[in-house]
Amino acid sequence: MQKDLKTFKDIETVYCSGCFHGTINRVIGEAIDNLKLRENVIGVNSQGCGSFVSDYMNLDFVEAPVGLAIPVAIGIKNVQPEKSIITYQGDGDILSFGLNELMHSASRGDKITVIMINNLVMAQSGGQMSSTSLLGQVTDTTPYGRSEEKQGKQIKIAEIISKLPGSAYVSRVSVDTSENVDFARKAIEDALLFQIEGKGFSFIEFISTCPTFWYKTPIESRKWLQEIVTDVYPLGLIKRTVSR
Amino acid sequence: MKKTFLNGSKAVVEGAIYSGCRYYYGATRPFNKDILNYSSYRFSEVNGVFTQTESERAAIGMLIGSAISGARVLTSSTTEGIFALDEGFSYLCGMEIPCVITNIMSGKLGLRNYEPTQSGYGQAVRGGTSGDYKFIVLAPSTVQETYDLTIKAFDLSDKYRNPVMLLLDSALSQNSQNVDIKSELLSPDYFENKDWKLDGANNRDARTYKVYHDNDYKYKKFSDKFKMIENESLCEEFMTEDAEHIYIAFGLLSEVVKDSIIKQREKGIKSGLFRPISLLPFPKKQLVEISKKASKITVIESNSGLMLYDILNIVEDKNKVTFFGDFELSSSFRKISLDLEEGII
Repeated sequence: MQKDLKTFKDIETVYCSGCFHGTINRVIGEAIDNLKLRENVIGVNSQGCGSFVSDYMNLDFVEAPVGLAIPVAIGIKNVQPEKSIITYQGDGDILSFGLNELMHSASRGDKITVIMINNLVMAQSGGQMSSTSLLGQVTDTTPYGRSEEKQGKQIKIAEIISKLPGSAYVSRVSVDTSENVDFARKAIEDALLFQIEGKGFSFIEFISTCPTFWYKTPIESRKWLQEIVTDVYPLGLIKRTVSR
Repeated sequence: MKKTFLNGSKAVVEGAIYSGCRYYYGATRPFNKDILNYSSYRFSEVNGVFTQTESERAAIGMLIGSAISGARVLTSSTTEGIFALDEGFSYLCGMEIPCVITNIMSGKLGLRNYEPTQSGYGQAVRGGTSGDYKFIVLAPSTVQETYDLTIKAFDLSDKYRNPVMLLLDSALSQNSQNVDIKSELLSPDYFENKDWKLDGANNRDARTYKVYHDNDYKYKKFSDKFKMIENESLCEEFMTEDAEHIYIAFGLLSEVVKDSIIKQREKGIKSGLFRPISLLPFPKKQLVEISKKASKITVIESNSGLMLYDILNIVEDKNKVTFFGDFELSSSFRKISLDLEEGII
């Protein structure tokens, strides 16, 4: 692990124990430091647990209304095309409130990097089912488990984005093991380089844990993520366009 | 100065481009078509960015992004589309982002009611989104004034770091008049040099913009700011010096009332018009002065009486105030001018 990061503040976070948000924030900071891009990156955070990211990143950050981080990023990119813009959004924010904007942006091929933290629940609003909750998963609004008949199946957004013509780089990563942390860092670096080279829309889905609303201990959560969640949401590179 | 023949929608775009605005974001709505269509090539001509967004939500998002980068930005919609922009309004005010929003008043309730009413007053002045926020709202009555107020709107917005809304009657947005427009444009570079903008943390600490921290501090600052904005209130007084009967109207409707007042004067009736140009901040002091002298005050609106509440709050002797208005007024200008001449209203 690198020390003395420029882009990540070395302070205590407010995230719950066992949550991956803190590690993901740090991994993003490491990737930006590796590319020496701190002065050239502007971040957009949105609503949800992910909105705390701006407290820990030593970057210019603006908070967007719920689901609107992608349009805000496009607005910044229009005025400052030489800058790299990242958004940091949760699965509830991007899929329940901002899916329209995500689909249009990915189809147009806007040159921004969208980072989605998928923890399978609406955590900040109190642990309700999100559109990525697994079948059978118990949440506050699916006390008997998510059923295919009643709530329907989950959205696997990374695969959908990869099929859109404007998307250039799509990857699904996690930070549960040191190998996966390295892979995730590399994915963010690649996505930022794709944006700088103007190849198109880049999208990274982080599979994260939420021990508080999965009603599991941090260790059980990590185990559940590795054994069950990654079976439904397999990790790895999904799309990498060589040239447009 | 050069003379051109423009409608209200095009005057907004010309005023914005003169002011150094080079970014327009907007979605399609029937009464928004003139601004959208005209912007699409006018912004390209001045190397600006025109984006037809998928929805008003996306437009307000892009507006926040470009405005926080220091640029002057314009968006527009109709009363039936402003609700979708609403979501960003508390962020614009909370993060003190300057921008200009054009609201073309159309319809009564819901969608697909394309009557030219003044139903957007409450939406513009009182707002509908979360939190304690206030806009500056300007309501022009002629195309020339629309052009001039658009320029003023950008200046006020930058001066106070507060969004400004231009409230246009739909008939004004579609009808053309001769307008004097400025031939040389202001440079956008001058306005983009702002010390609060987000441009990457280069040789300085990172800046973060969010609305959920320091709320107490922000509310205090916000209320202090709006006390200063109160001084910017604008109004027009037409033949009010010796008037016994004062009419109060805003927007295009006031032009109809003005014509009728001239005819009433010819008959010896001493009437006058008070027209608030800035609906927020409302020109309270001027109205109080005028209302003391008048024996009768009639509020005329093309809605069910949205401005009436504000007038009743300001005028001391409320028995003087009567109201005339309905949804169809703007579409029957001839009838209202005849009624005014006859002294029925």
